[in-house]
Amino acid sequence: MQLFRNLLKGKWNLATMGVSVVLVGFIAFLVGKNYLSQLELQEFALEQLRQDLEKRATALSYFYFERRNDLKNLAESREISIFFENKALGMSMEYGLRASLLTISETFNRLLKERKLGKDRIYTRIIFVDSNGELLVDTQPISGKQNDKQEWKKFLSPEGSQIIIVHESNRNLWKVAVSIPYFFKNKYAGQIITLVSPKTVYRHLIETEGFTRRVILLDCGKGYLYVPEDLKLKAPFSKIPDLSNIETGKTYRLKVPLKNGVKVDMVAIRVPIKDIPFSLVCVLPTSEVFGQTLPWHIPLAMGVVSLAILSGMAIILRTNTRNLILHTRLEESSKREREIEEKNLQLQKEITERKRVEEELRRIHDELEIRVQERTRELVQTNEVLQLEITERSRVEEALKQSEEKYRMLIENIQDGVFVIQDAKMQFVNEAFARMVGYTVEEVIGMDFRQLVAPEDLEMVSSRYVRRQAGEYVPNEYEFRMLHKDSITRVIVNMNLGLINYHGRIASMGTVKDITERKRAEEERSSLQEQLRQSQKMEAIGQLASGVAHDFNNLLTIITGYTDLLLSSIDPDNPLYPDTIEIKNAAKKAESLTRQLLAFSRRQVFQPKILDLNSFVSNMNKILQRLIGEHIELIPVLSKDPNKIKVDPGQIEQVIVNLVVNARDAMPSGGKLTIETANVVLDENYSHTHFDVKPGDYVMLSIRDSGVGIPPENMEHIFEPFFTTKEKGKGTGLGLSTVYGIVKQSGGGIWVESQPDQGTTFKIYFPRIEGEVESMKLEATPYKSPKISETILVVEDEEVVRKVTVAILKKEGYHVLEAKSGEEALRLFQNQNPHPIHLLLTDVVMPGMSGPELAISLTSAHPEMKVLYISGYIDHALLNNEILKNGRPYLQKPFTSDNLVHKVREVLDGHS
Amino acid sequence: MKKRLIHLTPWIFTIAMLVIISNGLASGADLPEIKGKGILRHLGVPYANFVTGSGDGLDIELVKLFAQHLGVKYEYVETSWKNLIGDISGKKVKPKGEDIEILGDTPIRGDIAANGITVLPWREKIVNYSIPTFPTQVWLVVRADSSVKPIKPSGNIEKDVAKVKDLLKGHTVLGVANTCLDPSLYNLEKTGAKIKLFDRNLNELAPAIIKGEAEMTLLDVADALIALEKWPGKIKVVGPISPLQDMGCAFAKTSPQLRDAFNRFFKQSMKDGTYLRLVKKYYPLVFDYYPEFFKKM
Repeated sequence: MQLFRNLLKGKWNLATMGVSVVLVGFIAFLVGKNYLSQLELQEFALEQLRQDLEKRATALSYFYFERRNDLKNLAESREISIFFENKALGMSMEYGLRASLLTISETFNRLLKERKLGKDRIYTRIIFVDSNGELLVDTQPISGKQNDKQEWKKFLSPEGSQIIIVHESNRNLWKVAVSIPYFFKNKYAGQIITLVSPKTVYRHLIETEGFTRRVILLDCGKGYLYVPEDLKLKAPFSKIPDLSNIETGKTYRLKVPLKNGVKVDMVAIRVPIKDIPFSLVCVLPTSEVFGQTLPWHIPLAMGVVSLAILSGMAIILRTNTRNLILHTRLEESSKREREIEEKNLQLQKEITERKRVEEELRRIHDELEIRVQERTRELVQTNEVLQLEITERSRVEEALKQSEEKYRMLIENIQDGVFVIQDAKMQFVNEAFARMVGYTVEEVIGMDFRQLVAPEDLEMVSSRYVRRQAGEYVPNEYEFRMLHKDSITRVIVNMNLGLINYHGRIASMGTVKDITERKRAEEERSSLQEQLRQSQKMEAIGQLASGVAHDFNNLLTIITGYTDLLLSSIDPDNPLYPDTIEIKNAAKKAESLTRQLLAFSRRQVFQPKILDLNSFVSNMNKILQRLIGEHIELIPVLSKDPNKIKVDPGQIEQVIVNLVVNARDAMPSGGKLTIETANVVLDENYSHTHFDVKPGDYVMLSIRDSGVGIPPENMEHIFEPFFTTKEKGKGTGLGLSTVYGIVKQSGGGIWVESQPDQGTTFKIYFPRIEGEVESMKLEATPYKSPKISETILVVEDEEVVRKVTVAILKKEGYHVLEAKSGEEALRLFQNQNPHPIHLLLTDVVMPGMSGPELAISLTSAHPEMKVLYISGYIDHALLNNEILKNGRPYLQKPFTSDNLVHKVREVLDGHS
Repeated sequence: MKKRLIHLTPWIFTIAMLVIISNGLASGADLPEIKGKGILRHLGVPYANFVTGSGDGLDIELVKLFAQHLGVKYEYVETSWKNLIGDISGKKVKPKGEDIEILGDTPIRGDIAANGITVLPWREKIVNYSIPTFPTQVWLVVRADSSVKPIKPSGNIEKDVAKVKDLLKGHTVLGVANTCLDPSLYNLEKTGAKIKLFDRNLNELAPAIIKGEAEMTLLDVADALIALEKWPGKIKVVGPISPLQDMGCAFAKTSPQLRDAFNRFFKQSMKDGTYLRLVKKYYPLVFDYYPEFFKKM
């Protein structure tokens, strides 16, 4: 054992020595390597310093590149060229030219404000001088030496030099000027000079951050080295060393005295700035680059420390080996004791566990026995309950099936549409709904409900859907228009039943009812009511107008009659003669108005004839063309078939003329006037929507213009008397009311369609009749003098009318009897007997016995007696039954003495 | 009833018109009435940068501020140079040299007229002016290719005016009657120039000579500076036709209180720099042409 130990000890020592030698060698290698690394680090620090300086130089180069661009932009600016253009035109500064300079100044000032580094302005001043050095624009005008011509002359560079550096050492002011020559029409015209703040440039592009004793100087050449004054004070050295000889790319080491007089080692390098004649020079203490320690200090320290550590390690290793052997033996003995104890404990534990398991097994067996018995009982009970449940469920399912069948039948057969919408998609619809929109149920399912809503109601329906989904209140029932598959809009009443849970999510359910037909019927009913109201209104106005016209006619008869008498009794040279003519003319105009009023109220004499409307319109073409003038094109579109109607030709002519004149006035700048005739059949449907139209055959007369149209608000009034939109004096407002009256009196109907700026169409429907067209030629009756023996009985309830009538007739030489009523006339007739009465001249409407009644009474006894009716208007009944049907002669009030005399003569001679 | 109404309508209309016209003719609204109505009507003609026609302008902003100062609403009423004096004074007038002939009455349509209105002796006979608000002068402007060359300033405006007038003989000159550009104000007919009166907007004078409608035109400085800016190289300024003039706001003779209120407001605006800011906005160049005018402010 001892031998073994000695042997081990000898080998250990040898090994230790070997390891020591290897370690020493390794440490020497590390020390050498470290020294070389230190040298590389110094080189790297210098390189980093150079790179940092180059970055700053690049920034400066770019900065001056930008300034050159600024100057080029200024030189190309329109403002400067305008100045020279105006100058070339000879303009003087006092009168206009200065304005151009002020515009340039504005441009310079704008640049001055815009160009900044951080918050500092780049340019301190921008100057524009002419080719003689005369100052034209200066953003910082200062009087005195600054604006001296010589001051700026040194900047003039007609040859194109772009950058000039100026250093004013006497005022210690640094200026860096960037200037560009300006050429107008290829001739040197001046120089733009910008002064750049070197301090701003230094602060933003050169100055280093953080604590450092490094100083960077801007070398502007010619020995001018710039560093801001405050930094100069902070610099470590008392005076900037001479750095002008430092070459680019080399590192210089200098001994520079500090402010405390101690000389220190310094490093200096120079980096040029690309494209400009400046460079950056950096000076800093060597220690800031390489640190305080020399390269060999660290390797030496490392060697000493390594040897000391090696010795210590050898001692500790020896002591530790001995302790380890002892400790290992003790450990082995303790370990064996612990193993025996553990095995004993394990054995005891296993015995106890086996006992516990056996006990547990017994208990579980007993419990299992009890549970099997309980479980068997529960199973029997559960089977019974299940049997009951199966029976109940079968019953419920059957009831549910019947209920579903009932609801399906209800939904499918209901006339209202039923729908469910979820996420704006149609999730369910019934057959009725599908029919309403023209699709099949399958087509509707999945459609966006908005596809089914008419565009005009889309916004309202969508909005209500969204608001309902959001829980807002919206009416459950409302109308909207739905879009049928064939693009026809249907009117729908929507009854929303609210939100429901559909397949686990919220959906909107409702019903819809198609009320299109109901709406249409309502509209038709409303339209008919409106037409009825309009008709009743026109009837009332007509009655009023006819009453007024009747009274007017009596008055006008008196005025006209007496005026004629007066005219016949005074000499034309009498000064009263022209005045009386004026009265007669006024009466004629008033007569024309009352005639139109009568036409409107259908109270004028209606002398119908069968005529062919085509021929009638064709014959009027020339008259109409003259009426409308050349600027309007007349387009007749006449039916090929005959259009026979029974109307008063004079009145129909008036209808056409009135409508054509209106059309002409609606087209002051020209246009098209279409007159169309056609045979039409107005059926039941038409009569349902047009009041007082009976189904049947009609002849349509349509007059259409392309004029300004009638505003909707005027449509209701156009047929009213005195309603006019024409200028005062241009229309009486009776044209259309006359048309209305004539058409109605002719048994026809008139309808108007108009859109503002789209034109107006009047459509008149006359009942179509069969029969021969009657001739419309009139023959003039020659006037004969009265026979002295002829007696006329004048019956008129209006005393003044009667008197004037009597006076006219007496003046003509007739023997005249007068009566104020039918009854008085009868008495007079009886007293007059046996003297014959040749003519009964009677008013139609009188209190008591009417004119026709009187005539029948007298002529039944004396059929040879002639009758002539006079009236302000003709009552319908009289008009139809007595006068016109029997072809009785009739004279419309008011009448002139000539009319009366001629008519009386005609009747007496048997021409009427 | 309807017929009676139809017959009465012309009478009712005539009476209503007479009432309206007679109210309008009564007098121009003075300060209490304007405050009572709560509205200040600004009569303006689109001209240069005083009333640009685009809803802004030096005088538009100035009168808006004045209305704000009075606490009333502002309303712009556009008129024409022809009707301007009538619309503010209520009188139709015909200038006769420095005098006027009153032709009749016309409705008053505004309370203050402001759109770079030059103070002219004949106008002072019929309206009251505010204190001068803007300097002006009338220049002769010609097309760039004209043979007429700009004068060399002598330093004396009267001599310069005489030099310019000497150049006019035989040339067509555009002017606008009843305005500061009225050739009769400067006796141009005696220079041998062919006078052509322009009846369109003053802003169209410069384009008219560029288009060749005439060789020369009268322009006031404000408009000439804008024209030089708008049409560089197309026109040139020959020299002055008039001595220095003033522009101001015009008021009816029956509105002295309103004029006084405006003068007070204007002085305050000059004092606090508001007015100079507006001038700088619309006429930045004018300060260099008439430094004395604004120095007084």
